[in-house]
Amino acid sequence: MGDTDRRTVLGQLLGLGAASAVTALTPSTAQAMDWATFFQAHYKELTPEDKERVFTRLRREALSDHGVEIDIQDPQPIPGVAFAYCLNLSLCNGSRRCVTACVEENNQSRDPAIQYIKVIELDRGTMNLESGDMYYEGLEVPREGKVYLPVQCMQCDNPPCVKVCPAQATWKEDDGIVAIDYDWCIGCRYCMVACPYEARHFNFKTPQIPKYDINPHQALLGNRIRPRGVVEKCHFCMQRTRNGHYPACLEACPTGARKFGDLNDPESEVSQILREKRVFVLKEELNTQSRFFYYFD
Amino acid sequence: MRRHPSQRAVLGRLPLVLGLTALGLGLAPWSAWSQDEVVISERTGLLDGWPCMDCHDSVERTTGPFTFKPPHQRLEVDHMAGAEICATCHDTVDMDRLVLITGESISLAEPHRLCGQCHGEKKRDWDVGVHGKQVGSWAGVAHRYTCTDCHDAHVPTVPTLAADPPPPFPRMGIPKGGH
Repeated sequence: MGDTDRRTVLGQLLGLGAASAVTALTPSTAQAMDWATFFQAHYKELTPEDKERVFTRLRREALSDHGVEIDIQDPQPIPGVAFAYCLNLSLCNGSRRCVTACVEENNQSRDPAIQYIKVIELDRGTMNLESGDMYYEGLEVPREGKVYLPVQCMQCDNPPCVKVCPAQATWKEDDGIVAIDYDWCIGCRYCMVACPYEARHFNFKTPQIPKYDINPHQALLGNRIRPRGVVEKCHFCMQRTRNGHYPACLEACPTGARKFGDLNDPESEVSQILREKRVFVLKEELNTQSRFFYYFD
Repeated sequence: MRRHPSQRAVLGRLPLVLGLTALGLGLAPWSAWSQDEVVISERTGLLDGWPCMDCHDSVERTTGPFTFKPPHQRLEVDHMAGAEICATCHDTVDMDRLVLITGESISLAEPHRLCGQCHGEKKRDWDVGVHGKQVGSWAGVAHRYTCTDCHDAHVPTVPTLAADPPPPFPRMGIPKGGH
């Protein structure tokens, strides 16, 4: 999206009156925010034809803004599938390969840098997040006496972020993924305050991604290039997982610490882990009912 | 054994019933989204100097403690301290293969069967995809790494890595201990 976005236009509508809004919507100033975009319905109200128009617009924007031809889809939740994630903290070595893979897969802004996964270095024997360090550097990880705790969106079953959204721009999908309609987000950042895991990130600036680093396989609610002024977060790589693949962070993990699958399938890795291992969730006392489980073995 | 006519009728139709059930399962919507197949990593041929029999066909086969002779002089062994005997794992008849404690000769592509003899707990987890890396599809064909994909069999501790760069420190942030 260009310099004029929904928030600006809404602000002008509310603050300065309709006249200035009309000015903002004239073709000369509203290069990307055209009438169709401004009046685009909420994701859940989009018809297949509407979605096709949105795809056309996003393809056009990707080409004009980034010079990249993208393949954009809207993969739907698979009926009967409930996604969950398990992470073996005994194996995680803090190499941040997951972070790098996530940034590349999900077209996250490189400058300013947005990363869905934070890897927190903790002293062995403590789980005190306040004493952890997420800016550690190391030529040799894992370091002696440290454990590493990767934190990302927990796709809570009782998500505080969804409750606080005044625009209903974020919601829980049937397969458990908490999705965001980037075209409907007004950028108020209430959800960022509500999330106890600091999993949500705000695009203060238009995302800067080198042309050749853009992943052209994109999903409407997933890894499409975000506009400025919206919130984004991990969505379990829905462009991959809803097509049957593992998430990018799992495939990049050098130690096999990450496990992903369908909770409703009793033979899936995650189901077996939940049955056999002593799993825990972060900040259980907040009753977020996280779908992201940690364990030591 | 003489069966009741109704029993015979049921048994006679059993193949048809089974066939229809299988067809029904095949068409069930959820069946497409369970793990169809796990392909285990192929290790044969990945080693330097493989096949071993190119050399070992004509050299004396030792079953005692390894003497580090060329080209293995730099081979480091930090595994099974006090019992580093090549023949524990390597087949002395066909050096391209491994051997179980039962004497069964197995392919280099099946190290999990060998390692699982001692590391039964890890093997049990690996068998169901819980230990070790598995990539591909959670719903279709998955590729499962085997033991020696990640662990050097002679020095099984996974080496340390260089961490990827951390996120940039916030411009207005205060470093830990700085206040």
